[in-house]
Amino acid sequence: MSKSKLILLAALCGVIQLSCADIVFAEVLWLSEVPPPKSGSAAPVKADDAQHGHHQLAAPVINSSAQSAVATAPSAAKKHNHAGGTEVDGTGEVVDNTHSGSKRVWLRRGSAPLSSGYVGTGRDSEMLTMLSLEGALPDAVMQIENDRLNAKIELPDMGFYNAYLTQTMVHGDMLHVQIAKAELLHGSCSAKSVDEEAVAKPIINANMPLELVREHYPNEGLFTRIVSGDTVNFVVMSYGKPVVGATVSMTTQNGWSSSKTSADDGRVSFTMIRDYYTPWLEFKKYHKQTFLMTADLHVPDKVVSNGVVYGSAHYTSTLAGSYYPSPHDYRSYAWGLGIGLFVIVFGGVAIYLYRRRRLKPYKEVRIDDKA
Amino acid sequence: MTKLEAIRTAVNNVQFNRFRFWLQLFFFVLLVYGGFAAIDLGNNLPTFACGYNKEGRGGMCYLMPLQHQLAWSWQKLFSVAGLAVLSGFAIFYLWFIALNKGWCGFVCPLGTIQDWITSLRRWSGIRYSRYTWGQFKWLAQIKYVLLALMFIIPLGIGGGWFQKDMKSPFCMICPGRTVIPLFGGDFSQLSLDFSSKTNMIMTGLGLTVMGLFFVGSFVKKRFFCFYCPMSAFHYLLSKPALLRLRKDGSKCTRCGDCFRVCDQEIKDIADDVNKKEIMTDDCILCMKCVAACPEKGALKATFAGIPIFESTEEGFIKRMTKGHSDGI
Repeated sequence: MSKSKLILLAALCGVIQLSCADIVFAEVLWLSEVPPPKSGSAAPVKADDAQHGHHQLAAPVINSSAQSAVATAPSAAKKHNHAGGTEVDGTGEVVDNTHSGSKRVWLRRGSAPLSSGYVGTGRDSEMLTMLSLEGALPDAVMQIENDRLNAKIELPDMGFYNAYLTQTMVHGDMLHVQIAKAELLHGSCSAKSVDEEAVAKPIINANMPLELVREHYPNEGLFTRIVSGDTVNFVVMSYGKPVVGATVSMTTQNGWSSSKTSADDGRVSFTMIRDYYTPWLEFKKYHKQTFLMTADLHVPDKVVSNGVVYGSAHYTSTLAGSYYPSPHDYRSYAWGLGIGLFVIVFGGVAIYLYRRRRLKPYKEVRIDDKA
Repeated sequence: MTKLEAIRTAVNNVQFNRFRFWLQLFFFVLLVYGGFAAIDLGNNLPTFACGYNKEGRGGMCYLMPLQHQLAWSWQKLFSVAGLAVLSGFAIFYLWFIALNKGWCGFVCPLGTIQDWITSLRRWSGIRYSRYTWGQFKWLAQIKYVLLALMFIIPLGIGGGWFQKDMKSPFCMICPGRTVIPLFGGDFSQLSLDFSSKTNMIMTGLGLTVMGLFFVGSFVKKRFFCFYCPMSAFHYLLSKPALLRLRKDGSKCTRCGDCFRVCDQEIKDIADDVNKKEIMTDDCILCMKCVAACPEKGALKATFAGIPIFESTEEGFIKRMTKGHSDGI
């Protein structure tokens, strides 16, 4: 083989390797509450296949399975016979299951919520670190069911809970940590005994190297929904402290994407766009759409993890959320008040006229004495 | 006079309309603003403590969770989960048994609002309307139709016959949904929902009923109570209730005072001298008839068989001379 051909081949390999590296960072892991379609485009992604490229580049730190970065005492997750998690109704809409204390999350891979594949076999028995406002909960175990890796989680009390799945890999001298986070909510629209504002606070994990925290609304309760047009604030945190200059991107269900850099206080804001356009007859106000937040942080300095020193580190944290169409899209006060006022005015006038018609005018009766 | 007799005399001579006004105001504040003071009487109250009044409600009307539960899939409804429906009904029934239809006459916030609108009409000097006997007879059936639909539609949703948008059909047309949240500063229920044909029709109907509620209540005392399915539901369950309205026909002179003060225009209260249990399906147990009766013991309210308020000549005269115009 000539020297020029060798150089060309080497260059080609370099390009392929770089592309693979890009794929590794682009194909993020995230936790989804949306169940996989029974037959659809979102085919399961075999973790072994998905990791194949990684193995080519560098073997994971622990070969058997990726481990939770935050070591908590592993404990057996409660087993439940009843089905938990979100359901999809006959029209394909995701049914809201906020009322239920039994949740299910699926591990997905990809940067677009709609097309991300459900991670399949190969990563059984992974642990989800669970955190509530009161502190850590027993870890939940990821299990393979119908070729999809998922976990059934019981949320004992009303309020928010965080679930974290952490995967750690090494690319050369670089540590790559992926943290998939899900913010789960057990709420009720009728639980007046619960101090909603107290239990609806966001939870911050001070043990996470990178975390996206959604700032809750000032009066956020257990049934507050994010709707199109809302401005949603996130804070990028590392070990409980705000991170400046992290790249944060949002991708909506229909693929709209935007990237921003976290400010001095770690905050980054996104306005939820309106991207649900459908004929009126098909419009559903409970149309639940998923958005995916991704934060990337590159640490060029030396990093120590589990006693091993790495030349640099790259952290990726994901957080999925959901949003609904804005009531402004389908509610009209003008029409509502118009109907109410019309009935009041029309009814009032009708009653007035009815009463007037029945009023017998005064008639003077004169008696003719001569008659 | 023993102490007990003295208390009984004082109760029987009470300025009843004033007492009722303050009691109604107390319950109104409790059920419409109680939530701000962390008061929660649960989700099974037999009165219109509207669930749409999210922040302020001190409890919730049972019809809302009942309709939600009846709209479950039949598989779920007739499974162990159905026990939740039964337990909810049991709590509702326990609440109801205590006050019977006194929940309508003294507690219901929507009833209280109607009484306030009546006071406004009286203050403005406009006369009130009454139904003819023919109108009364057929209009009185509407509440049973609404009650039947309130069960049939959610059950039909569970069976897949109707759209889920029709969930809580009565709440959608109940004036409580549109009117009561206004007192908490929530105007969101005054909008028309265009998200689907069903929602558009139901919210349109709700706003139409709200308009009729204001016009009707202005010219007709307790206008909506006549059509209220909760009232019909109460009546069907009222047999074992503790608070009761009794009549002693032998003491009745058929003067008609009780009929004249009755907001619900119930003729039987004056005409029927045979029945001891005089409460009819339209009655709201407001006890205005007892207060207006001049015959000792002809009408009385009893609680678990014990008379708590009865008509006396002395009480009648005191009420007539002191507040001759209020409430009549």
